[in-house]
Amino acid sequence: MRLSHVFRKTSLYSLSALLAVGGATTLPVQAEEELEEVVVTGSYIRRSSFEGAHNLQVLGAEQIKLTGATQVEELVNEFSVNSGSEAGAEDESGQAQFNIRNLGLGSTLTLINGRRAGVSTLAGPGGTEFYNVNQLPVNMIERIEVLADGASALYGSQAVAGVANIITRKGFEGLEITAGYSDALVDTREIGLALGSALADGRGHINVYTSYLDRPHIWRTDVDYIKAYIAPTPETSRFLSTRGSPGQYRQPGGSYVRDPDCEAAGGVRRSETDSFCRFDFSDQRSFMAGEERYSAFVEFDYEINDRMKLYSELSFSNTRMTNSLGGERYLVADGTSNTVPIPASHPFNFFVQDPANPTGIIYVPPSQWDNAVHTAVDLEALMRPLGSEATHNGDYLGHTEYNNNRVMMGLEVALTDTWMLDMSYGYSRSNRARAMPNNFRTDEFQRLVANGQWNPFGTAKATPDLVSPKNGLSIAGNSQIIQDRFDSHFSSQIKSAQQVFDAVATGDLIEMNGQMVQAAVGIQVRDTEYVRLDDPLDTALEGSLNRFIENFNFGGQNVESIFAEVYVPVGDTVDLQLAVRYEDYSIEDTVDPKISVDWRAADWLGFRASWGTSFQAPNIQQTTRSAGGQQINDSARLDPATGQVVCITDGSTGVQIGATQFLEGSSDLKPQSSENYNVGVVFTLANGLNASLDVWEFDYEDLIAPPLSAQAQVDNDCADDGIVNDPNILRSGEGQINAIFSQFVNIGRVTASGYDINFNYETGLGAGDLSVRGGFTYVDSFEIDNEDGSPIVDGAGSRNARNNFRTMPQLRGNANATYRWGVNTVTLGFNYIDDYLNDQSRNAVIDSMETFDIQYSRSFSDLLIPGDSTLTIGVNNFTDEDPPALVRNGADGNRLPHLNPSAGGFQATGIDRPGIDDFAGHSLMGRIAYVRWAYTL
Amino acid sequence: MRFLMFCALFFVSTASAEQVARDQLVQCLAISDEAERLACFERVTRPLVPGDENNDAPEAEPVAAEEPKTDPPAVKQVVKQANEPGKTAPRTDVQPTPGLGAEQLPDARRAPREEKALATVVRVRKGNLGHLFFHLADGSVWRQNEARYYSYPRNREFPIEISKGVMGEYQLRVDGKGPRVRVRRVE
Repeated sequence: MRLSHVFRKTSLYSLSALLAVGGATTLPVQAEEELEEVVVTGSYIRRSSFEGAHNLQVLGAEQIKLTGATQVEELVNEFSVNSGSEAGAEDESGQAQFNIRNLGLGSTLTLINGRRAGVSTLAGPGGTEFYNVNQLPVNMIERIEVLADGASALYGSQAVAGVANIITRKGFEGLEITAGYSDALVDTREIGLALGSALADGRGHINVYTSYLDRPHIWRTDVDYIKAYIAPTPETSRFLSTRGSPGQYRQPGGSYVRDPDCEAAGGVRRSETDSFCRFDFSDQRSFMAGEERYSAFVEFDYEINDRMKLYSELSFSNTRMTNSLGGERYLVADGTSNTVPIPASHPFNFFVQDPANPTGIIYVPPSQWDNAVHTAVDLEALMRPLGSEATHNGDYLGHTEYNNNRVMMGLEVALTDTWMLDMSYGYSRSNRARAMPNNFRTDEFQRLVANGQWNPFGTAKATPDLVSPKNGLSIAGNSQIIQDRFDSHFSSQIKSAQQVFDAVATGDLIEMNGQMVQAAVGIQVRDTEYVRLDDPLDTALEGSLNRFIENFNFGGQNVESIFAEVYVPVGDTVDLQLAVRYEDYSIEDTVDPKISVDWRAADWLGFRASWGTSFQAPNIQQTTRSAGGQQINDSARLDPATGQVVCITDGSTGVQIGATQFLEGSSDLKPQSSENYNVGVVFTLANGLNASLDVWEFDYEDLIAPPLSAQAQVDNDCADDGIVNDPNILRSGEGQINAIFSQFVNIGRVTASGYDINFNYETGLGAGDLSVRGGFTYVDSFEIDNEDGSPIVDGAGSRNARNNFRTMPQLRGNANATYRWGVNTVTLGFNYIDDYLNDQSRNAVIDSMETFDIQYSRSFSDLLIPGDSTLTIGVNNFTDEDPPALVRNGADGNRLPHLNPSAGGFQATGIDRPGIDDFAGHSLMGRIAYVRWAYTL
Repeated sequence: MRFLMFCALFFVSTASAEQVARDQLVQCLAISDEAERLACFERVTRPLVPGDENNDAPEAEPVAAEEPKTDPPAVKQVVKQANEPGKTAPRTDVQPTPGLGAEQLPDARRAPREEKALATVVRVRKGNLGHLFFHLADGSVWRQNEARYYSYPRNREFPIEISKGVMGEYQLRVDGKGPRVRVRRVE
């Protein structure tokens, strides 16, 4: 079999295959279509009738242009089967991924030309691995095929909900330059270059795609709807913290008194009677991080001879994210109450004991201070080292850099006239380096405050030139030199790498009823590694956040698998696909079958059905051990009388200590497994209308749950039986907790079902062509059973803030109508996300969101210079619809008012922070107006 | 002058030779460079010149008695061996391929590439990936190289121009004007 027979014309009549998402390439049936043999997502076998029994949504290059997308993340939400991705979210990572059926970031496998794309350095909740699609240039994409059907029988782990296959413009020839500008909440600039050329008289091809994107970061306070929702004024904002700068002070055991220079020093009070000097952290972080990205993708193939072809893919991307991080909190690792001790001797401590209340304090203005009369007292300060001066300040920017590289090489060999062997090796590597400001050295900060070198009071900012009346020397204002001694940086690095070797043989088995039974068999070996280098201050529990290090430090996983697929044409109208895969990942192995069938009942009617099992292996974090520090409030203490550690029963609070928590998978941790089916009907009418309806169900069990928090584990030790006897909590002879061992376990189950509807219609209209496309998904149920006795929760139509899943509106989808005549194209688009319940706040209803897009493009030939130019102008969300607010219900079940009483004033507690939902797929950018120019030569 | 001479030869040899494809001659006329245009005519009309009627290769001559006249290394090697004492006469049944290495010759002597052609589309069909297939009157079939919308006259034959792009790819334009679409010949 010559390799060039990959594309072979046939005269078969085919039902329309790809009924796709609201913008995608469609294939209307015309009499005698020109059919090409291709390999499609969901099968390794090349054949001409490729709709098969697969529920496939497709977005083609032409439709990608109609969306106005500049990044792949904008395409993720074009698929109605996708839900809960971090795509375009209020996020600092710049990462985006597919999340088919909202079954989890690690339950969708991303492929490039049918091969594993790699793994991101970041991980989702519980360490779930995913592939960051943003690292790819958009101009390399020929189409994206999303198979919304369990596919582990073909592709292995992670293909539980399906696969997203990004197919490149292989064989593209020519030169193409694009440039674009978008005006929205933030402006985006992007340029792209695509090159392609045949080599050696057509025996080979090389394609190069590059792109550059630049988008600045934006403050929350620059976003009108965020301000309107949860920060209408500084006093009513939900972005106020009781840890201000300056803050409030007390004697041990006494009541807090706020700093008298609170507002003059940049603090906020809700009212005159508010006893706290609060910190406004609305711009502590950027609403959207700034991004600058270079990416390139190169693919090459060459026919060495009639029976052998070499191919290769190389990709590179560099992304620099810029995010603000100012005015961080201050947490101490030594078990104190996270307050800052200020000695009485501090030159700017003007608080004296209240004569009427031994534990109270009153403030003596510095102008009235008399050393002979006044004696300051030791204080505890509830505060943070830096406040408004470090917020909304471009000097306090964090920088994150991602580098992604991938190289894949392969060889296709025609073993015989009917059998071909395809072998490939791929290596992908990702690296994230991060440096963020405001990682305070807590011990140094305490020392500087204790010896008077750092002024924590409001006088530092309100009256920086004040000379202390206590010693006549110290100046109130703080210096950058002193600040630099405690104001360090948070730095970390994460690396991930994956190697994949694939070998697949495909060919003809036997002839049956005049047609050929075809088969594919293959093996795969893949190796994945993670390395995380944490910030040294954090690992020493000396950093300001004293946070628990959630991710592991080093881990790896090796997986071997073998699979087989058979395609059986049963008669002239029925096709059968059988597949099975065995995968071994050391601690466990699994066998997963799949059967699919499609039946062309009539020229205009077809049916398809599939059943199979899939699995998601425990990820590296879940199979290795990681450790980190954690602050624990111990609910037990040593009884000096008995020498035994006993539970505290007298109502007193326990001692807060720092302990190490070890996370690890249990020895019998099983993969998450799924059984799913899909039944569909396909209509192909002679008038150009094609439509499909699919009914699907997933039964996903043995979900791997994150272990209990260290605090919950310690609390449960006493709560269950009143005896300190948890073997996973290691205590010293004095009863102090040294270590806590927590395990990932298989617990929980999800049963999800729903419907997918796709349609497209093409017809000539006047001087041109009209096409109408759409795709909608309705999730009928998404029952989450934690299998711990708690009630089953239906996640369909819920924000899912109280479980491990994400926002899942019951209905979502899009549609568009495009009219083309001559060199003109106009498109109208409609996007819909249903309303859903905010389970975080008594199921308040979060509104639906409808957006409308419009685009016009015109092509010019030989305009000033030889070649074709296309000018595109468009507006997405042209009604400037704001994303719906995260509204809340009160205890009575009714909607809370926007503003509610708080601290003598009001607070916008009618809406949950952060004000909008990151994971619903809502457009957060507001109205996006863009112009794009494309030149081809 | 040489141009006029070859034109005359063309008209003289028409009666005795096969009818030369009009399209080939029209393509030669479209070449702006004089040397290339001349070489094009030469290539097209060579079979029509007396003596080349059957396009026989020239009779091989003993190479040993003559100085080598041409550059192809194979001929040189044959000459060298023939001149050495004791060596047998060189093989004369192996002739260098006329076009072998021609691409390395200076432009003036290089055979012109067909950069542009006019044709007629008799049928258009769409593949299952959305690519268009253009069936031309001469029997060739060209496939659109990327799936994107391309406007073309429906339900009738129409003229096209196929030309080479800057990266060596072929581009098709309806009636030689308007937007181009990249195509690849598949038959």
